Amino acid sequence: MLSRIAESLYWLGRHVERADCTARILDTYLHLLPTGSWAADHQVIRSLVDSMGLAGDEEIEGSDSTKLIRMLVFDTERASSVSGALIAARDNARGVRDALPLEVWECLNVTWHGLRSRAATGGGPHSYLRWVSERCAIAAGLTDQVMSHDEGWHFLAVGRALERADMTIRLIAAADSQTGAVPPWRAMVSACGGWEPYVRTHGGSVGPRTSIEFALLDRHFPRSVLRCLTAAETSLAELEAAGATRARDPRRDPSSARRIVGRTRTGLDYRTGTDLTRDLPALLSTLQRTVASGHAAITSSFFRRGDEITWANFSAEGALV
Amino acid sequence: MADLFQDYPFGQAWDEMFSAPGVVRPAYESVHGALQAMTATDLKARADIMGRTFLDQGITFALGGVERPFPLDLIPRIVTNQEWRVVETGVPQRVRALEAFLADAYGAGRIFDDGVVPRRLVTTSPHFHREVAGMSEQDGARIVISGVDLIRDEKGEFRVLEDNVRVPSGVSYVLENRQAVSQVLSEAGEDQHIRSIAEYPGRLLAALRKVAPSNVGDPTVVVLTPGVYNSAYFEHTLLAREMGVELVEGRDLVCRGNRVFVRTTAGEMPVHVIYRRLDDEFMDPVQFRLDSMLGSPGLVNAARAGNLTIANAVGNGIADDKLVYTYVPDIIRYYLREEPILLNVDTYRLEEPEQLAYALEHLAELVIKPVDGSGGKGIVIGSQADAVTLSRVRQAILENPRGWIAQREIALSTVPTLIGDKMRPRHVDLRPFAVNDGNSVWVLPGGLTRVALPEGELVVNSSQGGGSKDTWVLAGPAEPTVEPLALQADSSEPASLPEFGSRSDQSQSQSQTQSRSQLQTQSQSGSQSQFQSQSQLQPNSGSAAGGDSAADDWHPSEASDLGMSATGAFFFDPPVTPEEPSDGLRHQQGQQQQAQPARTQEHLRRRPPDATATPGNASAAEGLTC
Repeated sequence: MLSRIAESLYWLGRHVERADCTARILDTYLHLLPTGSWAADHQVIRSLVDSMGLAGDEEIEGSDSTKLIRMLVFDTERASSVSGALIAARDNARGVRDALPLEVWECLNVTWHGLRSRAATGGGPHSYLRWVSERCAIAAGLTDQVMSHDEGWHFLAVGRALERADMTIRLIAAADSQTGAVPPWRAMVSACGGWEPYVRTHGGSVGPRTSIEFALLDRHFPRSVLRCLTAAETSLAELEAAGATRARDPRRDPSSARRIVGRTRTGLDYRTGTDLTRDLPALLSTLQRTVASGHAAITSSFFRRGDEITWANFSAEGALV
Repeated sequence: MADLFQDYPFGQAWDEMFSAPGVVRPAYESVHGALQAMTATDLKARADIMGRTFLDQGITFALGGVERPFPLDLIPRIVTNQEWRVVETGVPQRVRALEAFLADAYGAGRIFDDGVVPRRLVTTSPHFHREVAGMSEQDGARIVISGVDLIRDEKGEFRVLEDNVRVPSGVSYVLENRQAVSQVLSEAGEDQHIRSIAEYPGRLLAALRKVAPSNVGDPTVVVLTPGVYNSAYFEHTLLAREMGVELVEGRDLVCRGNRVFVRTTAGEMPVHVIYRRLDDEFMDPVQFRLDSMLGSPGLVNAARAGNLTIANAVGNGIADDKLVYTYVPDIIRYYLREEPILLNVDTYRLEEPEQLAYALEHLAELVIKPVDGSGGKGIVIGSQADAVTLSRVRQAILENPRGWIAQREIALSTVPTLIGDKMRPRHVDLRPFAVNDGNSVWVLPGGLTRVALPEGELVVNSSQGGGSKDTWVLAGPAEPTVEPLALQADSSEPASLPEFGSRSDQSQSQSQTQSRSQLQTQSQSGSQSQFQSQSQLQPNSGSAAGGDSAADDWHPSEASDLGMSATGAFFFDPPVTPEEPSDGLRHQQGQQQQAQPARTQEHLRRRPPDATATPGNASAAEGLTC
């Protein structure tokens, strides 16, 4: 598989997942808030901005709710917005059209065509976000059901799993640091998309311990961090076995992305609920580091390219046509 | 109901559906009948569905950075078997002559010494590249893919408008148009036998593998694209996907020690054939434009060293120069000693004083074209131009006579096209695509019919707002399958025939004919993967006969990943490896059964049942079992 194609598929997985997660987070917060209380509730906006990893962005932090929605949902120029992520996903897909099944490409392309018309109908952010979730679900379903689960699919799956883990970790971190009008833990579990399974497991009472345990460790919920890291580890194992030009044992190779993810996954796997709450901030930052260094390891071992070519006489000849 | 064709105007041009007002040509009867049963609203609704599908699937071309669906008109353009015969023999003739011309022009230059074509004509061409002079590795297969633009004049005769032997595009629309039209207008073609075009990707891959460097047993083919911003990017992805090969960009390639590799997740893998879809000037910054990031430095040297085949070859631009075009009839006579089958459009060389004087005098009746233009740019149609334009053209011609040609204005043939809610005649041309594997030239039975949508417009290029039509080539009524291919073989592959002809064994020639007709029927039943596998046999036999020297250094399983498995070839035999020096697979069936029974039986067993069931092969099978 070409490195360029592998990289595009990886990012395709990440961007679709990012659009999906962002849409769900925004929809949750919109839904939980009584109408009109946005402007008053700075806490919620902070929590939202934090969970999307946008803390420190002055333009966003200083804006009111209408502007915020426009920037986070509809802004096509902004890569962190829902629309921006879908555009990025489609751009990546376009670059690897020959490696994607027609159905997956068509789904992303139709979504891309729909972005503008949907935003223009003025149906409000809720219906738009629901539509985005549906489109992402179709894309994910087609990827799993139509695409051959070959090397390319595993790259896509790794991207999706890492992005999903990243989102859930940030949601937990944001909830942990907030106290506000809206109960943060309930919002966190809903934003992960896990309210119903949570209630079935733990009953209707929402506390920090059970909700953190659920979002991090639940063995059945597909968006728990444990499940995400397991999925990433499985796909990375396949990938590293497929491209096994390196004879080293991946479990001992410090450059192996599988090792980075697998180590953290094992550490997480054998924790208990009480362990979790005791040093949550340290644990969360470990998890975030794992995702970041996993990404770096994948980039360097699969996507690295030769140095860009520079010509010694290029500048000497001045500007060439 | 019949009001679709109400007030259908007739002009000077040849109308392909009507021979006279109200008189439908036989080939169009079923289409005309189907349209009679429809209202304009029905037709419009179907056209809308089709447009939507194209947009959703991203079947677009980029114009000014905006992706647009390629406008497709529902009404097919039909070419009868008899009319097609001219194309099917004329195009290969032209390609063979241009092949010989290219080999000569970059080699010995006999044609210049003999005074048929002035040398200056080639050396002043902007597409003449001294960088590839003397490179003879690819002689005979420099023009692997060609698209000779044809038009039909007022009498319905096919004439050549121009040759495209560099990077002809548009074949993806041929494939997609057929699919779209058959989805929304299926009733129109029901009682006609339309020749299949689905075999194109398989044929192309087979040809590309066959023209690979001779020291490679199992060549790897890639398609090189300039990237997603290219106007024909959709086509590049389609071809790569349908051939089952990688679509690469320049930055995926690396040249080292005159060999070319592609960067993959498992390291660097060798590449042997590049079907490039970018212009010469951008291919290789070592030789051409220094600032091009689209190609890869070292490609030309790798080709010169015989480790890489670039298809089409670098430097082909001298053969489709519009001024060289005027010499093509002479070139055909010179190299092939044949009379040209397809006529040129009458053209004036403005370099020659008398012709220049005549052209300047009659500027308002002629079509003036820049010699190195493409995409319909810069064409001035005298009868439609105003005085200012004409005087500007006159000035331009006087400044640079080598830069322009003048042609007689021809009213291109017309085909009914849905305009608003009426059928109106619109001018069309035809670009048949031909694939040359070094031995024979195969013409895709179909082609891109481009239609100029504005009324009276003669320039059909898609970049000038043209649309397209599906092109149906009808199979002959009595002897539908065997004959056209046999004809093509006779006329165009004398080089490959002796191989079979020398073995005058009865059963051999019989099975030969059989496999041809079988190949034809398979493709017509629309079974693409089967056909591809079938066509796979050809390069195998070729490479086995030609190159059994150096072993391929690429891991076999990797190679089959990229090349073979995607074409469904695993039903058939693996590529003949250098350890098994032998004749082609076809010979094994008939001739080598005594010598190597076990292996031959193996081959037969792995064929699909219908292949072994045909009489020609059955005799071979009998010989084995008893």
